[in-house]
Amino acid sequence: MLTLLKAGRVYDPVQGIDGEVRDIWFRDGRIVAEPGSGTVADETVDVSGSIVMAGGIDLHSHVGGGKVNIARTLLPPALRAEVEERLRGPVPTAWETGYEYARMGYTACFEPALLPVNARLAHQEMADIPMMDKGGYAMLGNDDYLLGLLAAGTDQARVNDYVAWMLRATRCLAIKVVNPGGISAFKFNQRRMDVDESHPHYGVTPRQILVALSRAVHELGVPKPLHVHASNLGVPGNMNTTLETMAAVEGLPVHITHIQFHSYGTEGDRGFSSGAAPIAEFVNANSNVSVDVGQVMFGQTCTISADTMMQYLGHPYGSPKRWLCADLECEAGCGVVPFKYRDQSFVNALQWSVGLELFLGVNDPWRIVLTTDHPNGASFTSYPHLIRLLMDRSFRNERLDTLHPEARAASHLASMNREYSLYEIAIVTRAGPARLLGLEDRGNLAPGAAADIAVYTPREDWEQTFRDATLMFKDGRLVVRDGQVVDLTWGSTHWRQTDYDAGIERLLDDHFQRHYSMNVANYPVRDEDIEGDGRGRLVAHACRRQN
Amino acid sequence: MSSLQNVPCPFCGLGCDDLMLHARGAAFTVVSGACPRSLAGFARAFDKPDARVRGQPASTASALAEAVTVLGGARQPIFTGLATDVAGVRSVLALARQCDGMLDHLHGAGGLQGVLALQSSGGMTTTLAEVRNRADLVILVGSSGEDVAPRFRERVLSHPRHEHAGTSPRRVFVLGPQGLPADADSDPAVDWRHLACTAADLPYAVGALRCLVDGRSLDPRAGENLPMDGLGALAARIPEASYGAIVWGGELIPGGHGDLLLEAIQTLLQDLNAESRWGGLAIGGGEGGATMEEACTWNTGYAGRIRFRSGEAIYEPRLLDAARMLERGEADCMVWVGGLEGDHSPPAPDVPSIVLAPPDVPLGREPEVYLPVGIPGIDHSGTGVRCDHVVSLPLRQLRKDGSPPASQMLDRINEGLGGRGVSAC
Repeated sequence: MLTLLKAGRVYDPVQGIDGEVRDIWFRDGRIVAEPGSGTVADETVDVSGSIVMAGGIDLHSHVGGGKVNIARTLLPPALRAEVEERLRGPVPTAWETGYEYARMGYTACFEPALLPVNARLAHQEMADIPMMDKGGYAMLGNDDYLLGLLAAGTDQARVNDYVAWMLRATRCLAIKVVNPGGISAFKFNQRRMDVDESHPHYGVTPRQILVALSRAVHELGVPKPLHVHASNLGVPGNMNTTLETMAAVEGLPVHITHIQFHSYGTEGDRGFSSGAAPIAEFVNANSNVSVDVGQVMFGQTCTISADTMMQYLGHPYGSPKRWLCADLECEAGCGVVPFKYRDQSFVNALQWSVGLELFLGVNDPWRIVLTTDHPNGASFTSYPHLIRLLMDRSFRNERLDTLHPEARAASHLASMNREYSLYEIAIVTRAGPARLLGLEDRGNLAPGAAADIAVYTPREDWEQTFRDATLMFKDGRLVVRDGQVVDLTWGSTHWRQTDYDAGIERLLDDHFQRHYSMNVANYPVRDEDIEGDGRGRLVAHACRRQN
Repeated sequence: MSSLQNVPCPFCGLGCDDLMLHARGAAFTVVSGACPRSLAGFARAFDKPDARVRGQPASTASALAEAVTVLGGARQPIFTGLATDVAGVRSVLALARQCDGMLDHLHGAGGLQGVLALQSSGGMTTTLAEVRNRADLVILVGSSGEDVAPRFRERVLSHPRHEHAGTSPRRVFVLGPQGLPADADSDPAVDWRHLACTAADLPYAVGALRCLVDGRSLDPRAGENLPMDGLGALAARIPEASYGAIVWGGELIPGGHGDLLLEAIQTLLQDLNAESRWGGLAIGGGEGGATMEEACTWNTGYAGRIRFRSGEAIYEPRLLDAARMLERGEADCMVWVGGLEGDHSPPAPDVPSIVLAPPDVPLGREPEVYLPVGIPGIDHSGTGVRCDHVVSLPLRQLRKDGSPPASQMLDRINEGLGGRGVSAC
């Protein structure tokens, strides 16, 4: 069926289209070039006056894996009803996740901390998220195998083989490292770890891990830069750790995630200050670095992280007082701590400011992505509010005026005049994350791209505008009308395929025999594990190998 | 004779995947990696049976039609058993939602004790490979390990630790009525010690241990029935451990509040981590228990014991007890969803019932509708979740022409009731 979206105001940064009135044509789930005159669409939808963008893409959102279920268990719906009127809580079910993203015009979300040994189950959980495309980033860098390779001084080629094998075994799209080496060090009862501190057993440093993994990702030709959750999350003064982390990769592409939580100084009477300015300055000066923010919003949420070391350290600040940390299968860990951000807390209010200062301080929108590190900073359902904060300076300053007065005084936010344009919003919520992920047919509306399209009607403010998509098409199918889900569809699971020397399997077999509680033969995710119940399909993307 | 390598075993929460099987007709002999449960489970074979309606052989289609009639006429159906794979859980949730049903896994409150404890205090947990590679001190509470997961000793306790964790024998304390293995005294890998007490005294023993660890005084009368000397020896070992684990099995206090005991254990673990590293590990979760908890939680927000009303899931962990409700007439229809029920068999209630189970599962009374279903991991492929809730097993189809998966039958009943076959929970 040929569909015509007629005369919308189109924002498609990939094609450089900035609000021009354009027609968008699509057929069989794909955007097509405007057919010659005389061709009549099977269906014409008049969207004149409306904003038309590609479907939104969240490149960092905790939507699958055992830790999300632990969070649901600690904050079950009946206990989180107060949290938000519309959604039943900060940790929605798989179904609610798909419905709520779809209503906002989002069409893809990516789980950034997929524990490799948990991959099958995480994918099955994500397979129950309707409407969305999805994918995972396999977590490495705290696993005994990689730490052992690095301790033995193994050459980079073998590290690359291991990373490539893991991408295939876990059906993942990218590689993530969380507190490099620190989660493992915590199992040896080490409580803190900085970039050049040695692991208590393996002797390797976070810097070595960062270099090895970023090289592997680069040399294998995985488009998505290494996704880095840096050391010292949440600690006053961690901006220095973050600057060292960004410099550690020696110019290779790197993505620092939820950088808000890593941009703190130690100035002022309370020993806690914003480090947003030097961090933004570094990002601006180094084109190999991209970031997402992990904006904090006020209210009840639940923090979910693989960073057991820092989650254990932070548990006394949790609310309500039930929390869990876990050591997981000699690969990594997880920590789940419910948390309530309060606007009258100096620290929480300053965290809010730090996030916004980063959004406004990083100049190149292609290298900064809109996230709340769902649900760690806030639920993804707060994105419309966040968009308004970015686009509407007077609204931002009014909100700032209601916060803890000392936090307000400690922030430069009031002096920042920048307002995001619709074009920039389209970059930080769609085009930018698609480019970082290397998904060329998503995040844009050029002929050949997937017909993932969101249509918004301008309303009295930007939050209202982006709260409910007027129309949302997923792969060409209308699934949302006026903010209501009208049809059910299943997205695709994207993963990154590359080859490796088969010798790695023999080495892994030996390692599994000695140290794992399962066989290497049963480790890889089978296609049927994801596609078997008829919910979505796998899409393999090729790598652009560098060597 | 054809042999199969690295076969995952679906029958208990330990999730062994190193079995070697020999096919013997439609059945299988476990020639390597065997335990009593896998030997019995893989030896099951049956002629392809008919479905039945009130005891009479029926075509699958007419049995499904009758199931639709029975379920369609029920106002408060309860789905129990729930011993199935991920696909089966998805399907039973969709069906229960469609007909305002209630759900309770065959392990009932005992199965949910870990969840209830987490909802009260949270905890610190660990997994099989972490215990195997790291733990130099293990406390088994209310279980010898082998009574719940037959190969726990072989696969975890007796296995050498990682080279970083030393080579001394692993210290293992068994707290409870369970005895030690017969060869415990001559075990080169494990230094066993039994702290004997009754199951009913377990909470007091854990409380006493807590006092000893904290250096608090304990009224001597409180310790009268407890192995205080042994608990003292254990308390003295705790600060020496480089990595400790507390392990428990299935329902800790039969018919009682195992969740409260687990809460005491979890808060002890949380506090021990202030100084050194500890984790808790449940080794139950068999009969599809862990699978049900995981898939039910991501679909509904709750691990089990829910009822659906107008599409919303309502969580009633203390009230929603299938056995009691059936006994008291608080449910007017029972649906048993099996495949992995092992030695458990469906209740024989006075209300109309629909049983989906492998043909050799004994039935207390003939149900209104019987539908044969296969065993996940033998008759069809699927996914099963291990006791630590982290690792899942790629269950395989090992033979053809077996009975269909429970999920397929449930989906067809759901279609008959007008459902979409998917669960928008």
